[in-house]
Amino acid sequence: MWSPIVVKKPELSKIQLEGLFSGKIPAIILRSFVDDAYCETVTRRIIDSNHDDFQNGKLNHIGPFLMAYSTKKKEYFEKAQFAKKTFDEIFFDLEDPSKKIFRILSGLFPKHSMRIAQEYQNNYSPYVIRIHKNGKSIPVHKDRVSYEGKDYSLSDIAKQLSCILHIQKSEKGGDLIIYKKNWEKSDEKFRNIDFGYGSDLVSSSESSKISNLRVGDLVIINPNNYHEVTTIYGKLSRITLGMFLGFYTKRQEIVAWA
Amino acid sequence: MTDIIWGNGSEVLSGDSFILNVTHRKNGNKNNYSDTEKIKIVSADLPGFPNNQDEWRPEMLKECVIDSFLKCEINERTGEGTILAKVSHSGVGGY
Repeated sequence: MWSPIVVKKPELSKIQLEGLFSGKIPAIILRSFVDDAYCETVTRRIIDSNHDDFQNGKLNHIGPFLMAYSTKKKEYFEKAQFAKKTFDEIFFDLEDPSKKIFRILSGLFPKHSMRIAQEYQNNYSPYVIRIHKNGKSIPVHKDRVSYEGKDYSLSDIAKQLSCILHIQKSEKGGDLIIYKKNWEKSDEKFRNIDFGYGSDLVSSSESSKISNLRVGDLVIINPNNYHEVTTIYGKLSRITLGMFLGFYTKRQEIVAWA
Repeated sequence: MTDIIWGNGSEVLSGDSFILNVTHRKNGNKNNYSDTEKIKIVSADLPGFPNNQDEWRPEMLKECVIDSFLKCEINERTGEGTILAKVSHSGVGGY
């Protein structure tokens, strides 16, 4: 059975991360990566902040998502700069989630340097906060900056991981499903017009449904594996913070962005 | 309203033209489009492909359109049947 590994922060190992790259495991769940009080404070501040309406108001985001600006680099960096102020307010007096993630990784990759990605004088957005409301779902998709982010300098990374911090749970639904299938360019014939891929693409692939996530959990996946989020139900929005990690093997460097 | 077709690039013919295997057509298109169309790019919004037409090369176009899922917003069809279109990478919006 293809199942995620559930670990506590100090137990995370490099071998487990390698398991994501090799496809041996679908996900690593870092249980209680942040505590309930942290999530409650962040949720309150998110609700009080201004959100970007995205995809004609169908989605609510704080911070830009690079893939939505694949050919609009200038606009992406402007939005990233603008979002910084909001992120500073949301995480005021709290440890920044990217620093928490870097701290854990530095134990596993002591020779690697870690930073938020930069391109010349421009800072990439460190993460994106997604507020998904009742009725929303995320179709089958992959995230692969080396394909869709060719205009950006970090598209030359060797490997990519995705970290998702669960800040608020929806009452029902919002489960993460990961498929044991990696993206190949020939899969592009299964693309949906607006976003993602038709479900036929993964219908015969083994999958892992993660429905036991708690507030404060951090999920790490290989985003080149197709994945989706089931429909969200209830008054409470599903609030997550997403951040990608890019690994430069020769340079021994890890960069983060959204 | 502009006619729109979507599909995957299959064969590059020059620095600004290629064959599109059409998979989707906009509801309400004024004209009909076959399953395979020859597209000549009038403007491009493709990751990794320059905006400046003088820089367009067949090798670059190959890299950007072969198998890629593309949106073609149609300007017109020439007498020879080629479609002149604005071509962009479709379906990468986000979530």
